[in-house]
Amino acid sequence: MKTRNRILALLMVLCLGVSLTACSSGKEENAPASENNPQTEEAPEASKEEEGTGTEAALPKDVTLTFWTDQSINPDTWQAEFARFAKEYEEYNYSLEIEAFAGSDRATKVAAAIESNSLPDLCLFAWFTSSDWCHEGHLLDISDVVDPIGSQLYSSVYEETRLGGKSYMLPLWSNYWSLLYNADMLKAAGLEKYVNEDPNDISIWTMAEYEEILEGVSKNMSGEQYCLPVFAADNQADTTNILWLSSQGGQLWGEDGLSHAGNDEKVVAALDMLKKWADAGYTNSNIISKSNNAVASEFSNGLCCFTNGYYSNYTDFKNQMEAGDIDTFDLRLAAFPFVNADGSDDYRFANYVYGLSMFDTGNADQIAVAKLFMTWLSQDKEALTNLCMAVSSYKEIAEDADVIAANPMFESYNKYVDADHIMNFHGSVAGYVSTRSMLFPELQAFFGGQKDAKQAMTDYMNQANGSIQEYIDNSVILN
Amino acid sequence: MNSKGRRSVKEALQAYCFVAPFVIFGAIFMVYPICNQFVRSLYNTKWGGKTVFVGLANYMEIFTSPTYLKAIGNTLLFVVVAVPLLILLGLFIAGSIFDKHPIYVSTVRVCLYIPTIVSMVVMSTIWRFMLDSQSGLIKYFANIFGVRTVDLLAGSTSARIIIIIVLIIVNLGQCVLLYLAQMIGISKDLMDACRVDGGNRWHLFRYILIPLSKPTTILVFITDTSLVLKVYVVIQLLTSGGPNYATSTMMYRLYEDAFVNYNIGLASAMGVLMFVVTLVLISLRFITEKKES
Repeated sequence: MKTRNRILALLMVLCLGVSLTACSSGKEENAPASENNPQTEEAPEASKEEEGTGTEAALPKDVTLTFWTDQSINPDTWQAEFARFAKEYEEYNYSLEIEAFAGSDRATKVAAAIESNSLPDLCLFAWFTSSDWCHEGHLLDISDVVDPIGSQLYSSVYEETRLGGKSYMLPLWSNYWSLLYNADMLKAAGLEKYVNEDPNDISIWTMAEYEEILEGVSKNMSGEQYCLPVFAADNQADTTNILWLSSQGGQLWGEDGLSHAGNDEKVVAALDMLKKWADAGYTNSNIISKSNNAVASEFSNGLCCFTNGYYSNYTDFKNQMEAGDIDTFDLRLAAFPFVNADGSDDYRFANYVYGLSMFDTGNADQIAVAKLFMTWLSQDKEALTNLCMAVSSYKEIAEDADVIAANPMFESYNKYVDADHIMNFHGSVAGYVSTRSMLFPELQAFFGGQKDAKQAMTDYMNQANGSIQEYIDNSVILN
Repeated sequence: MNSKGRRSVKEALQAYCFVAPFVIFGAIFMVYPICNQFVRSLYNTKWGGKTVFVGLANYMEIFTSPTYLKAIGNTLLFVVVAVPLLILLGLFIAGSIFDKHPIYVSTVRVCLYIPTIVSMVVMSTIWRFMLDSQSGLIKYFANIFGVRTVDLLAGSTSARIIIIIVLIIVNLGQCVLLYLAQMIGISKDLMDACRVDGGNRWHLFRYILIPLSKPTTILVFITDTSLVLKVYVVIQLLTSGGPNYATSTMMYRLYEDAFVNYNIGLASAMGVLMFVVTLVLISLRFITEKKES
């Protein structure tokens, strides 16, 4: 009996020992991550050495780069362009693995990859979703890639993707977030005057004209139809909510890098404006439980007049019409109507800058080759043109006659979109992504009648600033 | 040591060798993660890949933040409401049909168990379609009865009720299955004795079925408590924790902190709290059971 108990005890101790030894390796687990920091400083120097002295013999061989994106890219095009790059280094044998997924999976995948030390080498995401990773120390400084071609980029785009004087993204294209609408519904409501003759001309309306459109189209609708989608179920497409909240001349973000939503009377007034529209019947009735994911399908099925999106969404709808997947209708683009602080009418777009960034994987070989590819891409006009999915961040490509001829809408973008009419919806604040989960609950409380507009915006402001301050205090860039 | 003792040691050793793989598996995939979670809840690993010891700061953040306290409250609410309902409904349904024709019993059992085996994602998506206040099925039938506006996911109370209903529908099948197995195994002599003594259906239920189903009740309580505490998919797909955190639970906050905000320390602290809550609830049940017996 004693011996049996001893054996049992020994087994239990062994099992406990296995778990305890693993538990005590907290710092060791993070050792690869902490080793990354010195490596991130070394890697750029290594590639600089290689580029400066042309010592191609120093380049690693047999490297496969992993590439993640939440965009509906054409993988074949990317592989073809990468093959052109790889051919210049044929003897080194480079290849590319692409993984594309939905935007709603992005945060989860990257968080899991950070935790498991399996980050991709390259990623193609929107800048506003990537900036938090810069502050957390996961994206590499690629100033040596971007700065040499900085003058070729639109200055607003170049500056937006820099933090602390360093570049963390090679901007490739800008997708301008605006309204998409069904012009047939405006015409059916007798509002043809607000529909441009040229279908590729973006509609620019004043706020008063827009309210007239909302009223006219709503009166002409029946059954389940509604004119303008307003949604607060989650943080999907919350750019739209931020644009509406800023549309009366208010400032959500201050120059101090903090939220001013609750202190700005015009932001509060804008929220009341949305409620006024909802009460007047211009919007869907289920704002609290409506997600933007449902709006796109309702728009394509003729249930609503407006939706939100950018050029990629516009081309997607057009392609669906051509393929016969949805009924054909007159699809147009419109800017968000704005009222400036001085009361004058204006309009805005939001700019989603998409580009390539490099994660700090800690693998010097992968980092060197990834940087080599980015350097090649940043200077290859053919690849930049072929890979571009919207308005190129490169001035020469965006204004190229052939590109505009192939994408007639770009001429309209070039005409209306400039620095004065792009709203920096994320304010370049540290920790913007973390604040996204704080806005929609307050909108739900407001539209549910639990809070008034002032209280909702104040609570959102306080929560957001708590998170922003945490990022300011801990950011590896700002400290 | 005599030969009998030697045989006993040898037999014991053989037995331990047989269970060793499972013990080691449990140690690696269950004990280690739990211990690791305890340790990580004391650290912050969010910034620059560094591990910083923060002590109980993560726990302090949970107990001082209104949103986290709301999540804890919602979780306890769902457990306190859903688990007893599941037990009561499971007992009632099983007690109503256990002595009926086997084909009838099997049909009811299958119908109730189908939601249990259907993917939670599919279930939640279908419920979302039904509950859509613009073009959902429930709104359609409500309109027929003259009710114009139906947005059950917009109100705090109605959203919580919907979550509880979905939880019950998903887990009821398993409860009924377990109770049926228990009740079918009860000796017919006891039921005949009850009938002979003038007892009706209620007496059978009250004095025979419920007492003899106590072991199953304990099992159902433990498993369903654990299931309800871990609910995430339903909330993510139906309400995203809203409206205004009304359906946010500890598991939902844990997922958001771990995989959206990449705050592993905070998520681990929430996980530890969930472990403690589960332990307390189950211990209370065992203590009550021990006192009664």
